[in-house]
Amino acid sequence: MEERNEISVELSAISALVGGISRQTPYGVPVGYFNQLPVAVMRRIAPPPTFQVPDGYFDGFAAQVLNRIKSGADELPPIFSRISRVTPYQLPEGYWEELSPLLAVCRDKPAYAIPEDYFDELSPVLTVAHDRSAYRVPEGYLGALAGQILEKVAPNVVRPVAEPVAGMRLAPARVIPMERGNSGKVLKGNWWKYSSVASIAACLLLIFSWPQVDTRMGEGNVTAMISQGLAKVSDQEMQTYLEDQHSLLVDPLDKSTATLDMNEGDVKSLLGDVSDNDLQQYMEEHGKADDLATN
Amino acid sequence: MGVTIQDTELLLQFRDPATREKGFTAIIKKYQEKLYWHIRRMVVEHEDANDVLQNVFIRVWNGLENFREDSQLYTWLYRIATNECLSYLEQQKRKSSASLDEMESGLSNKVVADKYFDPNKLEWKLQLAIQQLPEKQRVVFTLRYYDEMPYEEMSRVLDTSEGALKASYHHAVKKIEDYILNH
Repeated sequence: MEERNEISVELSAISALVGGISRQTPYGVPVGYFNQLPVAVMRRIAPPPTFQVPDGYFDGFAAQVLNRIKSGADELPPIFSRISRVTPYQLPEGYWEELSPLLAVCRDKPAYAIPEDYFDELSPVLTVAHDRSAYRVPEGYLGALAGQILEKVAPNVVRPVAEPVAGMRLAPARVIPMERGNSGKVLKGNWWKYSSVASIAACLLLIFSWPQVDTRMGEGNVTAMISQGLAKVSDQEMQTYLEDQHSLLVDPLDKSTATLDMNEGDVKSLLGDVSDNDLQQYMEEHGKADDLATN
Repeated sequence: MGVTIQDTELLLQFRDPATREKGFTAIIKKYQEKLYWHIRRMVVEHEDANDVLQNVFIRVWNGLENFREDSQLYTWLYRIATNECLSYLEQQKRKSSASLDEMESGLSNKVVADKYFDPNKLEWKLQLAIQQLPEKQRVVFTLRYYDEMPYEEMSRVLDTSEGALKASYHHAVKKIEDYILNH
């Protein structure tokens, strides 16, 4: 009370106008607001109690459920055992077919079809390019391929002459002239043939008779055997042979396009067109028949 | 001056777990209207005042256990209520990115929008004049003018010297007089 009087005096001293105004706040308050306020506040502070769960309830809960499952505690009541499990409902015959004739017809028909020539018309470019190979091979490449490979694998082997390839330089084929012998006679083709056969036969003699040579024999014994073989060849035959080989021996080796190395396949290819009778005849004329090595 | 006998009893009830809710409900019922009007004069609208008031009592519930009783209970409650009001107004200011002047005009609009507003009545003009005051000065005026709070208690509530409070109150009255005379 005393405080209020003091405040009024103070206010009047500052402003009589303000001091004379009612101190009632003019704002309105909803009816019953203050009655419900404590409850509203307590509801925010202490929420209403929820259901309580016994202590340790969730401990071992999973094990309890599994035990019940195993013991069959959830089996149906006995009355269900007297009830058939067969569904009593039945469907009329042909029900599904009649349900939707349209679906029955469409069942076996594919829904989607591709128009004819669809893919051809899809991309004309791809259609044209289908049969065209994008890659090209230089002309004669495949024909020269075998020779190139042999060149790298066995440089000293006689190889077939390849077709000329662009960029490949071939030495001109060497032409061996048919020279006259010392007797002045012109050598005929048959003589050339038979002399070739003779040289080849000599080589074959060496090749096929070599395994018969005792490997324990020294180099001197091998020389003696060769000498024995050559002794069977007449001087005239030997001279003729040497005259025929003269041109080959005189000419420098670098001009030669062929080597003297010949394998069994080459021998077979050279003697392939010589009949056995011709060969036999030659050997009878120039050597022992049992020394003849034929195909 | 410490708590009154009645406040002591309420505090004892609150501190007893068995009677805590009962004691707290009693505290609410005793101070709800005073605190409500103090807040309402600051924020104007009822819904805002209700939100601030409930927040005040929740803070009281959480902090009453540590109340040292070196001041009166209502002084402590007013302190909490004043801080909550100022925090709320600051929050509204940040939300709307409004300046101080725009906040004052916003609160004045709320006064005018009240369904009981009567521009011819001095008490309504007084409310409009109060909204023109700075926030701290507004608190000083309402605590002294409406709640008749002594400067000594007010200094504990606002943590300001009595002399400053007196000067502030004097200026506030003058401003209100000028507003009423000019509007």
